[in-house]
Amino acid sequence: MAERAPSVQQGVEILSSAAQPSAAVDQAAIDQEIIARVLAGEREAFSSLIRRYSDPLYRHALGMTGSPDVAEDILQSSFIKAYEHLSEVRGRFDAWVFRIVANACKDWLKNIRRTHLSYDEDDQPSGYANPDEELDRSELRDDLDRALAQLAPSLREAFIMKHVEGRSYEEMADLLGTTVGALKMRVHRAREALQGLLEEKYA
Amino acid sequence: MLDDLNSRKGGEDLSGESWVPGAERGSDREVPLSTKAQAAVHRWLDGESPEDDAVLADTKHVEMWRRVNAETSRRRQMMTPAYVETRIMQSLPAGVPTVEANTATNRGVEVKLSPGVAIAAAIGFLALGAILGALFAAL
Repeated sequence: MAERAPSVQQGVEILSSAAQPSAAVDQAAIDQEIIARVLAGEREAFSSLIRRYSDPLYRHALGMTGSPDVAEDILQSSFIKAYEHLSEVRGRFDAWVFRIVANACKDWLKNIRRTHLSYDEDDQPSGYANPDEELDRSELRDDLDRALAQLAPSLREAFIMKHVEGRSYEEMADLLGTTVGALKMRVHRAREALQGLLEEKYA
Repeated sequence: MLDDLNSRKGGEDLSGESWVPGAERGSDREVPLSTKAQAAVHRWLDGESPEDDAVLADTKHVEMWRRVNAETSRRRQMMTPAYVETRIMQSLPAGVPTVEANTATNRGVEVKLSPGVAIAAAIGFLALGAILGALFAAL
């Protein structure tokens, strides 16, 4: 008899634990279970997929575009696209939906000619009590945004995935369909470019 | 035509060369080769060596990267605004997503006709009409 797929609640627990290969398999099984429910007519089950993956996808879109509004729009259009094509998912849903978001970000970057969009000051709470510290952080945040905006999209993507999303090179290679070596090269080039842009003020 | 959602092309087709804003500084070619000090900083940032090794090799850049890391760590805590999930659910198309059927049955077949082919077809029909007319006249 086939083993029963883990429940969504179990999946949440797995997500909060350290990443293990078996956990990844369980995650995929949970996603498949949710997808089957959506395709069977349980539309509301799609919200489980949104909750499971929206945060890392939002951070990716925010890092790539530098604009919370654009990141939200990209997230929304990407999930709608994912819903419309849900029956076409082959393999891992998280990797599939990541590619939809990543491609949407690149399309946006390709079309946009603005290079400076900064995070809205009011969007995120500040963890700094000291006004001077807050001012320094605000300055660095804007300078980092400006520097990131000057990187080629492939370098920006690699840097964001490594440093902002905190992914391993192996995970990045899996999601982007390239090699660990190529990604290391991109991250290193991105760092060196950023260093060149920021060192005068911060080093 | 529908997008190929399984495509990984997006990861590769936007090289630095096609990027316009700031491309001269961000492109792959313009970045200087790594020095030993930079290599030490990379190893530290990649988690392959302790911070002390990087400090010994390049103190000033380590200090800069500490600050950058603090900022990127802050960004790692960012969460999707709560209203976005509701907004997405309300924007989903009505009905259940279904497996796309054979496109020939639900899209119609597009016929492309060049002027040459159209003229040849017209001549053919005229000839056929003339032959049929002659046959009926003979009867």
